[in-house]
Amino acid sequence: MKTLKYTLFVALVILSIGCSKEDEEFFNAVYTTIPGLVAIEAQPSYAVNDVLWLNTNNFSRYLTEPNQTTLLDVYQTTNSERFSFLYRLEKQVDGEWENVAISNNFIENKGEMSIGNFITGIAVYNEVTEAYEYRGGIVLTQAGQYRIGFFSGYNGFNFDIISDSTNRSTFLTIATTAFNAPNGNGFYNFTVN
Amino acid sequence: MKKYIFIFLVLSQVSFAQENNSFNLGKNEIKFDVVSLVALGKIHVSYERFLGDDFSIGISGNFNQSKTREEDFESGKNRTLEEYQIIPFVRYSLSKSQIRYYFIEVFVSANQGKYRELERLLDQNNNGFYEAVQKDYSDFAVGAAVGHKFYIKEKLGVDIFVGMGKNLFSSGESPDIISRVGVNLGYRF
Repeated sequence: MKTLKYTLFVALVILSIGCSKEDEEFFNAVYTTIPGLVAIEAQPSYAVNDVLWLNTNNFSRYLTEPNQTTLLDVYQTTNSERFSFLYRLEKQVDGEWENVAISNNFIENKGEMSIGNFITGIAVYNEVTEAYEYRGGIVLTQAGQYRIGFFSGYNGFNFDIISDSTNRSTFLTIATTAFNAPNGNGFYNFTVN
Repeated sequence: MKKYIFIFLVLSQVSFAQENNSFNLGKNEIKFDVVSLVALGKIHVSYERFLGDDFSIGISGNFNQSKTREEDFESGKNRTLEEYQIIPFVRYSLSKSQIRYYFIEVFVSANQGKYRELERLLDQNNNGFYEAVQKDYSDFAVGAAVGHKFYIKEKLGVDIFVGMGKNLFSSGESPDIISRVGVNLGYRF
């Protein structure tokens, strides 16, 4: 009986190791770094009821990829009509930065916005311009000290903009930066008077 | 799968409590793995030659027929698709009984299949794009297994075994690890 127990134990250990799912991990994904795909349309000053816009005006279907001599065709790689990224609006209250609930105070100009705890900007492919287009605005309803922030990307430095790939298509994650937000995933600080 | 093997191992202990008498067993055995066919969609056949009371040698053929695994591979869910393995093996009995015993096994495996890897390609306009390209792999693994074997009516053998092997020449193409799991029903002659 002791032999049986040992055999069972060894067998199950080997089985659990041998049936590793390592080989079945998802492989069809590409990660790259291409700065400047998002821009904050910075103004010299802001007043209550002004709109702070973000856009992806530089997000062409064809992007310059690091260490490559040819452009990367993002659309052909992903077959994706949409790329999304996250950002948030924070307000300084008693010296602390607090997340601002956007509720209905946003404007979709191009692409789509999804409002939850954070803002999801969705750049939608335009086959005429061959670009992924997004322009979303936040209505600034109160005076105060604000900042726009992004979330650290896969490289721990920039923030990610991610393809909405389906089926056999390659998933593409691009670590990018926003114009006017220093240090990659840094903050854009501004004051609403 | 693990559950089935566990239940089988336990049942084999209580269902076939035969005495360790001297049996005139044949030297050859052919086997078919029903569980692999049902659970994994693999055709797994074996031949085993008994060299004495303790040692035996044999060869197994493992052929993938699973539509599910092929679909998973085609859809990009799995990176590799094993097509077949040819597995020569040596077994050593850990028990004195010839009718019911535990064994350890050392095996090698010549295995072949398909895999996908991402490549950066160029289109006719000289723009790059990434695509998962399908290729073939061939590799050679070494491994070990443990198992339990018993006979019914001295002719019908059942052996249950689990083990694993490591592909030696894999550099991302073939699976790093191959499993060797089965429940063979055999005829000894």
